[in-house]
Amino acid sequence: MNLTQNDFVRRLLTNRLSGFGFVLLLAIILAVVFGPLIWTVDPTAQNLAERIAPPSAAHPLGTDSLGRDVLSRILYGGRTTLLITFTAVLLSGIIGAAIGLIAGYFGGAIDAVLMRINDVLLALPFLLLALMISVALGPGVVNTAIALTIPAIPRDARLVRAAVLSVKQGDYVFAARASGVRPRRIITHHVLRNISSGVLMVMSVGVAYSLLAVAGLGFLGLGVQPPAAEWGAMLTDGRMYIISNPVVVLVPGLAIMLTALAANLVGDAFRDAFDVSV
Amino acid sequence: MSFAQPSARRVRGGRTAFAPGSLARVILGRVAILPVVLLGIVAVVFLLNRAVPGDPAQVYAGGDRADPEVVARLREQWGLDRPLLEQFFRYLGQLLQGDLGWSFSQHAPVVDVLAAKIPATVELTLAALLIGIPIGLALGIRSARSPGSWVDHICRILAIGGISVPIFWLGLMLAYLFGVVLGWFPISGRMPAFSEFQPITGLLVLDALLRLDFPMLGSALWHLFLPAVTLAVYPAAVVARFARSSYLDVFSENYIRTARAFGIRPRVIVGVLATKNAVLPLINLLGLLIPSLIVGAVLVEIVFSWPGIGRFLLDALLARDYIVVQSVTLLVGVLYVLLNLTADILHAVLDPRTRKT
Repeated sequence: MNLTQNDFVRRLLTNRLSGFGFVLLLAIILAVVFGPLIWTVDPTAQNLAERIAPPSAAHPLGTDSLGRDVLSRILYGGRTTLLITFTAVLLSGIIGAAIGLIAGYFGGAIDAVLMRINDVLLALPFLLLALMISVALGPGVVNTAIALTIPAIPRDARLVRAAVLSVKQGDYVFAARASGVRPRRIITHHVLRNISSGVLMVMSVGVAYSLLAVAGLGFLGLGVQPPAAEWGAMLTDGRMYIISNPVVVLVPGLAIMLTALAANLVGDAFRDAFDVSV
Repeated sequence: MSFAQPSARRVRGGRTAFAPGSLARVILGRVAILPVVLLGIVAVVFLLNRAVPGDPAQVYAGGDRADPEVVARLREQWGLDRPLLEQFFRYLGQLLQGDLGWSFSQHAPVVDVLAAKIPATVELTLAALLIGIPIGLALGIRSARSPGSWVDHICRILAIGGISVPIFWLGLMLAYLFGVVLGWFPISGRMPAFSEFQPITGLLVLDALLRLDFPMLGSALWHLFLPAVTLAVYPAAVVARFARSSYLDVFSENYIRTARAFGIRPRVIVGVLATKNAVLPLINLLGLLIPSLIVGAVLVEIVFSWPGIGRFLLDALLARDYIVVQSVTLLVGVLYVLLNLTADILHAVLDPRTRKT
């Protein structure tokens, strides 16, 4: 935790594998953000005459069951999938951090009550909880993001609480408390500032997990609904046609896997860089 | 998640028994809070179910076009018009009698339907563990023996790939390659259609062995292969990552260095001396891993038309038959708690250090 900013960044970049993860993740994000500006084919334009077409010059990745361009759907679908993933991770990180901060800093009865509720929620597997909430709320981008935020909160809260507990032991916190600084100021100026890299780590580790869950919900037909593109839903769509053209299943799956791989490498890098100092 | 794949340090540090002293006190202490945790799980699952918009009576009676009078009668019959707390205690009473409720989409008690579907899921999950754990251990130990080498890099990349691959996609690709293109394995079901085999336990491989029906045994294994391998990738990868860090920790300890200096054979050092300590945290890992594996099995079952709780759960979800979803969630939650309790007790039995602090 006593790492300076430079140490932290250097340690992240010296590992070749994590460097590859960073570059890959950045490339994927750039591709889905700017790709549709370059490859301007409409992802929802149907062409029933050209269904399940193999890759060609007009459609570099072929077409899907309704003759829509797969490349364009991958790019637009990536926007949807990544938007949901990052929103869910950010929200659960913030809410989880708030709960973890309160529980960890104040301790006592508040901590005990919050953590017992946490324990119970943790007993329910992430994807199962996401499934239940997703069905309850119905499909759609916002609802899917909510369905993935809630199950991640107890996990994030617990990790942040652990970080807070170790920061709380710092002499500067004792000093601040002894000199009568109000709790709110201690939390924002001393604790929060020192656990920020921990919160970042918690979030980075959660990205791949949430991404796979978004795709899983999409695959089960519970997430984003057609004609909007989403990687998991694209898999389900292509599933029936895997024999005539495996590309329609191969491509969205590879997109999910490569993104999750990049996110896991980055998450590992954060975790390693962080673990050394805890 | 980070719970399925925590670092060795986190598990070892976090799982300390709260009562100092004897083993019996540790076990008693852990068992004593069990009812509270179980009650909490029932409450959460119950509340989640009630938070769902849409009235089950309304859905059952035909949705928006339902006759209000019929809906009202159903609500009264099912006790949905009672206060929430009363409903909760009624549900609790039901559970204590082993009654999970009535599935309107299956027209049968949930207990009966689940009992018919669970063995297939258990068989798939067990097979995945039996394949995944040894492979994961082998990869992780190999990595830890020469950290930084190219073998280590390959093992690590395999492991990180294993936790990154969407298993439903992996299942589809394996089914396509080995089932459709090569034709080596069946891609759906558990046994040949129209088989007259009579199961005993519902675990087909075991049943075939018990009945000494070897053609059936072959067929059951043959059907099990692809789904089990698909599901095994995740636990293998998680165990590999975990074993690597766990063995790395142990290899750097003094007693291992001493053993090396004494010239004890590497096989003994790795296989016996290091394993004794390195494998301990793995017990806790399995307690966390198995419940998430069951949920993973849901996805694999859908890909391979495996007749377990997966397909059934999805159909129930789509039919808004929440009592089924509620029951499955409850079962997995209870399993999680019991597995973790077992893991903690096992850990306390095997490693006296965890009892002290």
